[in-house]
Amino acid sequence: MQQNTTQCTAIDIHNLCFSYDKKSSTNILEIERWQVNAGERVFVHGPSGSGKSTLLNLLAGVLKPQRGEISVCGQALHSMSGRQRDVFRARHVGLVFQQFNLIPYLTVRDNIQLVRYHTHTSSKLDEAIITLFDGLQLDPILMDRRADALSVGQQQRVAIARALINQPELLIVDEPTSALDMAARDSFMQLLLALPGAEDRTLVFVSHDPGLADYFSLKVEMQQLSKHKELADAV
Amino acid sequence: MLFKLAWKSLLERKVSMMLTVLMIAVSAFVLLSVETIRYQAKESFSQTVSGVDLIVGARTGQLNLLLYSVFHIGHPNNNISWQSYQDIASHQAVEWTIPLSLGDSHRGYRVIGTSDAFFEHFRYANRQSLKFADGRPFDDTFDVVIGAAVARQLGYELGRKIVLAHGIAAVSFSQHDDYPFEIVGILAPTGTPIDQSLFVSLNGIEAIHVNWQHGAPIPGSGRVDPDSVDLTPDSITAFMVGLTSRIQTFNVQRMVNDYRQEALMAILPGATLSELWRMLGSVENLLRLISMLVLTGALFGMCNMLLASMRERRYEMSVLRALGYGPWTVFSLLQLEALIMSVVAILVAVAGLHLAVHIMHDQLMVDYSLHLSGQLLNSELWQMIGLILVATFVVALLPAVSAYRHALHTNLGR
Repeated sequence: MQQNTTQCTAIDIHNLCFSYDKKSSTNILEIERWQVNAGERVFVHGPSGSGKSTLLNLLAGVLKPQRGEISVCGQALHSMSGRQRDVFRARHVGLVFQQFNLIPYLTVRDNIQLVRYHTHTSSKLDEAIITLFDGLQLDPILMDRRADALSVGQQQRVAIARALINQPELLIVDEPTSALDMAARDSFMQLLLALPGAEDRTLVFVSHDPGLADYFSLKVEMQQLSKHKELADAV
Repeated sequence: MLFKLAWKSLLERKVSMMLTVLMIAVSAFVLLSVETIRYQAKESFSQTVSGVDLIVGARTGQLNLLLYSVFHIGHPNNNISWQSYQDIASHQAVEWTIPLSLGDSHRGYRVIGTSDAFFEHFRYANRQSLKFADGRPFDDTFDVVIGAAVARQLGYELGRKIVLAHGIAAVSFSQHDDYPFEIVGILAPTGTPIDQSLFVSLNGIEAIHVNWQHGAPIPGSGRVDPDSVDLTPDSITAFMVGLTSRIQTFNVQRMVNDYRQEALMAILPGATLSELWRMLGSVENLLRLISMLVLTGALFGMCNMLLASMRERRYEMSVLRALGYGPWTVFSLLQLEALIMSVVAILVAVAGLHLAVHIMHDQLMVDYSLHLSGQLLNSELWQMIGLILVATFVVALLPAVSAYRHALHTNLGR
């Protein structure tokens, strides 16, 4: 599972063990070694309950492994406090989820501005949004509209804009196409991969749909990545 | 950003938020009203009389004497003979006296028969003397000086003739219409029951009661020329005493209480007021307790509202966690929402309190001699407001901790 290490490493996992039940000897996830170079596009797939979401939570610093090391963008997440991991996530990781996760009663601008809580930069927000909207083919007029007034497609693209506004080194996308039809799915993928700066950004794309694998240079099967074979349904 | 998020989140649940705010506002209004009336009543009562060493009246309860002589509340049960008054007034330890003769009124406002000494020696608040907004003290038998509130509310000016009524009811059927009085002076506002009173000479009180018996004119007696009769009063209701030295206070009090010719009593206004507050203390505490319980109930309502919203907001909490908001930030968000509701409720309650005081001010003054100043936000009220905010924090701990725990264990994308 080791990729080319001559380039700068975006993800570096070593002897990682994780279990939701700290007293349990059964681990949900056990990864001996996994490295991803910066700028790589990784497709992580596997059946439900294979630990995909757990891996994402570990990469984003929401969860902390019981044992082992996990470094993302050169930062050792395993030795950080919860608050440090929160700040790290805000500054270095962009996240897009299946449900797009916009707060419905906030405007598009406010939804995007939420990400700047830890970066403390509100200047030129509108300019940055307009630039992103341009790439995402969104009308800037939508900025003052409530999130719940947008179409599903618009919500999805706003969620991407929010994930990218801080120019994160790592973009994690979790099952974003599961609710889309085939045409919308392809359109989304093309849009995502053609975004400005996409070539410098590490992309971890999680899906149980193997049909999307063709878009990615690197494919990871969860069951091969994690040594643990009795994957808990509880994940 | 956190404030904006909390505010918009509350606006999203407008109806339940408004009902919760209203519930807290009503209970805060009750609590602040009780506190305001308690505080202002003390302030108002303690400012009503100043520099008076003793008040002497017919033997009765101490509080009763204080209430009817100073605050014009209640009724005297007996009078003091003029002879006894003069006897005590001439005591070597007595520097001055202010005689008070009560029992008449004008359109619901009490009329007080007194002497020039009233304008000379009476002090209120921090030993402030009475000032005239217009005119002068009474001189003639049928001169009357009116308080500031009487002048304002009845629209009276100098030179106007008015008729006094027998008794102190707002509507009287026994008018002294044979003897109209002329307004010669209007007192400046004092914030005491003086503003709600009219002052005439003792001679004037005697004159309008010539040929009266048992509270009614003797039939067929007609008007009598006051210059043709002796207007020295037979009795007065009470009198205030200023002593040459305060060291003499207890000696003179004992002398009055042991007075053999007549059953009299002397009270120290300050000490009697303290006794009044002591007696009212348990009632105050009970009112406080009730209003605090009402407030606690309202705050638990708010807690319930926030807890009920937690289920639908789990998704929102997950989003915040994904964006780097820590569990303590989520905790703070819930606390901030509770705080916003409380602060809005307090603002509504304080505005309501000001409005209520504005509306009720004159009525409270007339009925209870209670002057409520416009400056309601005193240090005690600020303490109460602080207490409400602390209680809000404590009660909101439940939903905030629930949100914190959820945020701590949340998984992204779920």
